[in-house]
Amino acid sequence: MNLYINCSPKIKNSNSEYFTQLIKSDNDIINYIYKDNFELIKKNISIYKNIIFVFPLYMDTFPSKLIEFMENFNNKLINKNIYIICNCGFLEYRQNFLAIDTFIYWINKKKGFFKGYLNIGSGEIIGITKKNKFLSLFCHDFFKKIKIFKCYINNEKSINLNTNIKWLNKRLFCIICNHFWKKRIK
Amino acid sequence: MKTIIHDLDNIEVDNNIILNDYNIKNCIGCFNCWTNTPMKCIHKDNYKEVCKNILNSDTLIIVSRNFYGTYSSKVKKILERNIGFVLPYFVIRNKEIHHKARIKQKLDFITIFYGKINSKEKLLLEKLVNRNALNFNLKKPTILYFKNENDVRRYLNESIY
Ligand SMILES: Cc1cc2nc3c(=O)[nH]c(=O)nc-3n(C[C@H](O)[C@H](O)[C@H](O)COP(=O)(O)O)c2cc1C
Repeated sequence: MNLYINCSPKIKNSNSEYFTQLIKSDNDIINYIYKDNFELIKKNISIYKNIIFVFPLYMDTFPSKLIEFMENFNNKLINKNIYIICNCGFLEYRQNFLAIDTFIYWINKKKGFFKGYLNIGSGEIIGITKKNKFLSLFCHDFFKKIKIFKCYINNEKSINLNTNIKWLNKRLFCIICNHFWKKRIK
Repeated sequence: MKTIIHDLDNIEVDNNIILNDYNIKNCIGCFNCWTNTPMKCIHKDNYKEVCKNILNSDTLIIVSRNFYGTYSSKVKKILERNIGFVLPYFVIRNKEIHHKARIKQKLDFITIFYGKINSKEKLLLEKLVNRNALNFNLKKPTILYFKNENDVRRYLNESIY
């Protein structure tokens, strides 16, 4: 049994939630940093062995409420297997590396076992595949990696994976996203 | 004019200071400050139009307690309410995708971290503020470290105000 901790302010409407739903098994549970009481989350952390923090990149680091939770977390993570799923809006998953490194540093300081990450670039676009199945064709790598990541978590093995939307270069990605922004801006 | 985003208790100055306010609401990731009401946050608190303060400044100063190589949650909360400072549109800058700047002029950027800070944390903080500068199209950051809040206050009084 695994504990997923969703750290997005968009809670159940988040891309983090979509990714979690793709990966979790029926008897795993999800807690929400932006909704649930910190004490409840801390209690669940003490019960579960595999803990997966799922967070979006916010200004090159973690969302503020996740930091608030970490500030409040005076316990240790001894004997806990910690995994990370981090997603960002930009195409390049490398933009998540600093946040992931910082999180691993915190895990180590808390004496947890860092077991691995799934690092997702172009998270907003991949999130659209929930409704738009055509787009899934460009996200085959993501769907493959998320399956692999699930197996590794369930077997408590270590793995680090990077993924994003394929067949789009940076220029094309900007053109498509800017078109989308233009339509949304009033 | 300077905008200071900080997490210190009790500092009083006439500059354009964004006070440390415990009741500031969290960003909810709705992007309204980019789409429906540009530069205005959906929350109706004192930070509703905070990015306009920064747009009217020539220097942005961030003062934060070090927290394992990142910002304190208080400072981070304020920063997240400021993404309207840039436009939502994407551009390629330094071979990476970033947001298009709203203004041509690059602001001076000073970051001040205090508390216990080891060399690993310094490395993480330096990377962080350099990435923020790139994303917000600010000048290369000046990064300063102080042992405690009092030393920061002294520095601000002597050198900034
Ligand atoms: C305040 C704020 C800051 C953000 N900062 C970044 C950033 O620095 N880099 C990036 O690639 N995406 C950034 N994003 C975009 C989110 O990471 C992206 O939309 C992500 O898919 C959201 O995931 P979620 O739905 O799970 O919250 C930011 C979004 C918000 C609202």
